[in-house]
Amino acid sequence: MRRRGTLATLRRMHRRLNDVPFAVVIGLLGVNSALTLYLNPARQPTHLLLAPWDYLWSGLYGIGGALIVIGIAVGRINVEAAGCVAFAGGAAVSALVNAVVLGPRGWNTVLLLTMFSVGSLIRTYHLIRGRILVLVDAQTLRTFRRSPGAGG
Amino acid sequence: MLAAEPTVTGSIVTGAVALIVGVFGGGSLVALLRVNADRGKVVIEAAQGAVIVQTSVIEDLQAELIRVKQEMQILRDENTQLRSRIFAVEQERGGMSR
Repeated sequence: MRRRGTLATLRRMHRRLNDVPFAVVIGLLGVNSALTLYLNPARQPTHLLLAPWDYLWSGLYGIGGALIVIGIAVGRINVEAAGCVAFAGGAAVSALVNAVVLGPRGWNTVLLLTMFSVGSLIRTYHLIRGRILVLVDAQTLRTFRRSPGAGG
Repeated sequence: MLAAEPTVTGSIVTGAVALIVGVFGGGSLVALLRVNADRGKVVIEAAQGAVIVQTSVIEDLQAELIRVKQEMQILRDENTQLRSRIFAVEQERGGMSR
């Protein structure tokens, strides 16, 4: 009986993660950046500039990414929002460090990381307002709109 | 190989990073503790999984329901009028046959 409940929970978590794969991958980007610092520090500009404080950054980035994935999996918007804020901070630090280390040559990386940070904050705003990502079958919506008596 | 110069810029960047980590780390904790997890949504757990309906969708459906109710009332009124007219015609025809 207990095993059936666990299986149902796992199935629900799988469905939630499967519904928003892009958000999950972005969360995993943060985890990957933190892992890269632990496994191969020389590849991270933050390590060159901030060591030993780079582990603080990686904690923020990694935990943020993990919280986004966990929040989506368990369906808790406060966990996801916390992850988004932490992820935004991690991306902002990364953008700043890349701007200093790479200079004008790294403009595209800095721009992308800044966009990640801003996008993450926008997502937090949506979550705070109670707006979540849902997978909706467009065919069903069209059927509803076409049905007699339906508005729109 | 990437190289960083240990200059004043480095300490400014370290300060800026500490500020960002502090602000966003604090913000993250606030979001975790203060954001209402169930705000503005209704979760219907079904056998096949969960259906999450947002408040706006429910409001749209309520508006639709009100519109359908009004339309039904108009149809009922028309039906009553037609019934009374049929009744009157039948009365008239009954009177003529006698």
